[in-house]
Amino acid sequence: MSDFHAHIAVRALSHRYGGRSDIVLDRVSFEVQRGERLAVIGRSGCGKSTLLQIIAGLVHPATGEVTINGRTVTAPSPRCNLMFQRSLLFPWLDVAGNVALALRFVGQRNAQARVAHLLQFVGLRGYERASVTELSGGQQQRVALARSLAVNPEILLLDEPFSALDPVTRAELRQEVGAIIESLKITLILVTHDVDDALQLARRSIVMASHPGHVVADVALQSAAQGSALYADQRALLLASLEPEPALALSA
Amino acid sequence: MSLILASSQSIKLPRDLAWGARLGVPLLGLLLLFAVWAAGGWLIAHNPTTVAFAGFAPLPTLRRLGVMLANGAVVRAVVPSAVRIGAGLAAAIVVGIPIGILIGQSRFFRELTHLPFQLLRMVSPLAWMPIAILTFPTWDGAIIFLIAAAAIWPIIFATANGLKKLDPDWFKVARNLGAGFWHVLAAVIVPATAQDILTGIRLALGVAWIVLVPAEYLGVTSGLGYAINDARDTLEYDRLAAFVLVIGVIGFLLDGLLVLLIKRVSWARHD
Repeated sequence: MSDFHAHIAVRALSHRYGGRSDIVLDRVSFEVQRGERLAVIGRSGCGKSTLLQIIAGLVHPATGEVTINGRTVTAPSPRCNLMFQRSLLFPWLDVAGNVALALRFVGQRNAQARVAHLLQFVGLRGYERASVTELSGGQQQRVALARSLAVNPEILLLDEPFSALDPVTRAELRQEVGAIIESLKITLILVTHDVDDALQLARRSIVMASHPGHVVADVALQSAAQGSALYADQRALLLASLEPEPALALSA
Repeated sequence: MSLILASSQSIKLPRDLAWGARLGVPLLGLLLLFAVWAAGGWLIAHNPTTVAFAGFAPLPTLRRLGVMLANGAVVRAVVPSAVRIGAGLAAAIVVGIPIGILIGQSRFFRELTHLPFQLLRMVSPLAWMPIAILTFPTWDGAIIFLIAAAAIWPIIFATANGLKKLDPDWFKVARNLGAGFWHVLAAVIVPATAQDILTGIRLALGVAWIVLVPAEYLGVTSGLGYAINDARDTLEYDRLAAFVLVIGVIGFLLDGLLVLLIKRVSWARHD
């Protein structure tokens, strides 16, 4: 089988929400290798978030399947963790409580040291007892990242994690998340409509078009400094592929 | 127009004065109530046709209350009532919260129960009295049932209302982090709805406390309701008024305790 070594295999995935005639995803297929960093980019409504929720096991596809390590995904698992667009922190818990709760869910008690380590990792040491509702948007996303990392995921799924942030915080957090992902060597699938997110966090990008959501391009990305000619070329390529009628025939 | 604007603007008091006003206004309200009571008592005492009821006035009532506190009559009346209220409320909580969660979580269950529950909750709890007497082998059982029948509705509807306000994506986050059913219940549903559940319990306590007195007119020979009925029969109106005062004070203290609990578990609903 071609996906024998694939960490994640998405095969002929189609989906429509109950009662609606619109097809959200239409025969989407791709593979992701262990440790690979993939960005799925596309305009709003192309089914990117649905795709991520299917991979996470939170939504069951109408047809097709997702396998992780060769096993079909049928239910959510902490090994494949999805970080949502909104931080979705639990406001009745403080910062440390939110991270500790994730550890409690996977059966780890007395997790104080681990929580402290994770908060230091995301740059929030000293905020343990802070109320999550008093944090800035960027800080809330850092707590959400710490919570996601608490369960030691093999795969991290990021659903537009920076889209609600201001441009400065967005750039800062993107850089920090990039460094964290790099250091952990975990498999990443990032969903975004921002090509800079893709260029700075991923080494490969799948471009999706909408109505119905389908893959139109699969592009290998090279590491390039922001502002360099290579970065600009890759950026232009991704932007062109996001046009309603892709003019360029793209290949890996 | 200017008058409307002026009246709609709150007057800012200096901090110390504001504290004084915050404490002073409720005390003034209490004083007014006491003044109305005293005036009523004076009128009753000075009317030859009502002078037999002069024991209702504040002074005889407070004097009698002091005696009742000293000889243990208050404790003897309060303990059985507290046990009945506690048992009735506990039954309402144990049955009401799961039903409220089901209504809040399941559209099918919400639609299934809407009409029957709206119909049943409109029935006065005391209307169940004959059925309660026939159904339960003891008077205590019947009274506890009547209290539970009155207290269950605010708990069910407050819990269901709290559930409706939850962000559905919290459940996705919890499941994605490895939470099972009991984890979601204990770590998401209960803390997220605690303020609503406690608000329901607060309302339920008020209703239960109201139902308690007429319910204790049933065959029992203990409790605040019985004590009031007994005081009426023996024409001891100062004792009757003292028990009314005790009911009011205990109800006020229990309500205050629940308000403190609600403040403790409340959180701002924004992400």
